[in-house]
Amino acid sequence: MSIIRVIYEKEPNFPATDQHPDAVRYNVGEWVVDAIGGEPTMAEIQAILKPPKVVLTTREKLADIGITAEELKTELARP
Amino acid sequence: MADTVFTNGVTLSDSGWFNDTNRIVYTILANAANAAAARTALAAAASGANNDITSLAAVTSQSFGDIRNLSLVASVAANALTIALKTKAGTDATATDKISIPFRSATAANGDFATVDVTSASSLVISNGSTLGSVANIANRFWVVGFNDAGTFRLGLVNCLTTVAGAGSGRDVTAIYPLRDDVLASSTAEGGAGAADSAQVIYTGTAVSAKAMRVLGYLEYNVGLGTAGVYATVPTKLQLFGPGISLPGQVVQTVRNDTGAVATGTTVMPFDDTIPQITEGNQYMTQAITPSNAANVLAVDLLAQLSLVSAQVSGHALFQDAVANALKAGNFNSPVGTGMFAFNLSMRILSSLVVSTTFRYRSGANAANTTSFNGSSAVRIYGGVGNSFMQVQEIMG
Repeated sequence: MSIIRVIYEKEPNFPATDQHPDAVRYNVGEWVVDAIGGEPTMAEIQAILKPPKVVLTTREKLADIGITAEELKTELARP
Repeated sequence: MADTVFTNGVTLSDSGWFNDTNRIVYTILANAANAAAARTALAAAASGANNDITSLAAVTSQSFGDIRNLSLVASVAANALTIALKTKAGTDATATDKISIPFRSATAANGDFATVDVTSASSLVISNGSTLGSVANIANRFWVVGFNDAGTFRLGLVNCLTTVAGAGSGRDVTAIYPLRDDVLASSTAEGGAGAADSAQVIYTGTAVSAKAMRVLGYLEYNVGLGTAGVYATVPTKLQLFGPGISLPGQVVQTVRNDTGAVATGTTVMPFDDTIPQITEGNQYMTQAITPSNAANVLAVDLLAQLSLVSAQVSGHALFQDAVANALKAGNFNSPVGTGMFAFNLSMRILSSLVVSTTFRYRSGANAANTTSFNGSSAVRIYGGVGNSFMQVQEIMG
């Protein structure tokens, strides 16, 4: 499995080794890709370009902003 | 140009007759001090109606930009540095072989100038231990100036760059002195005790206050001194000032890289109290420059437009060549669901070299995330004309 470092629309003016000493530059479809461990597949590229949407639960959303469900209940119970 | 020998026995070097279509004129290139003798000789030699003796005064009159018969010599002794004014021939000035320096009027409202003739030896000693704010083993340049102190010439020296340690190991530039001929300036006495240690201060043998000043040249140590203020060697360069030579703060060259192309990366740049490393984040822009002088300043300015796919701290850092530690870094607490944000980094650093050097911009989120440079969710924004750029300027130091 390839480890993708950067995906470019256009080839940049610096070498792939600037991203990582072992990185190699590949042209995959319309993309220029610096990757380690071999040429990446289009599926691996798409996984980065269009990552699956993460749907958070209500508790996870509250946790992201540092509030527990219990704290919210207490707050809502106030007159 | 040849010498002219008149029938009355007077010889004028570097002089001659010219036909300017309408009349024969006589001119002297380098020996203006002999103007009076020339008039006498010409008066004796003149015959016919077309000899315009009176025009000779105009030919030899001095203009504001016309510093005459000046050269600079540097020497060291007992770890002290001496800068001396010399004639073009390399000798001390005398009454008959003077150095002539025009200065702006001491009155701001007056547009004329006054000329000070140096007619004897003139020098300035920078005593052993006086650093002028320079740093060991780093290139530095000292500017040579002259003052018109009510008709008395004063020689001065100033280091126009203030540097601090910072990430640039003594090369971070925080101020550039505005050296120029069109203002009245003041100086501080060097003191002779090795205590003239400030950049941005003009040191003279005798202090002056609000006097007309003239930039005469500069000297350089292109790799610095082994110990700042210990002048064991003569400067590596001495330069008279004149047309085509930049003053401190003026741009010497500009190189720039504009890109609106989208690039996407996922490498993390930690948000903690450590210096970002060149292995962290992803590189999105570079700009190379070959400085023309090690004592000049490199001004690096960049602006990057980016977005993250989920809310997180976005780190940004500037690197030089393959040096592991970032020179400058910053972060932006990126929201999600909005467009790109723009982040800029800026740095002024002594070039210290005259070979190609490359500045690098890297960015990465604090944890697993996807950074889109010039795009949002890995899709390009603004059709390729997004204004991410990296610019490096070489500035006279």
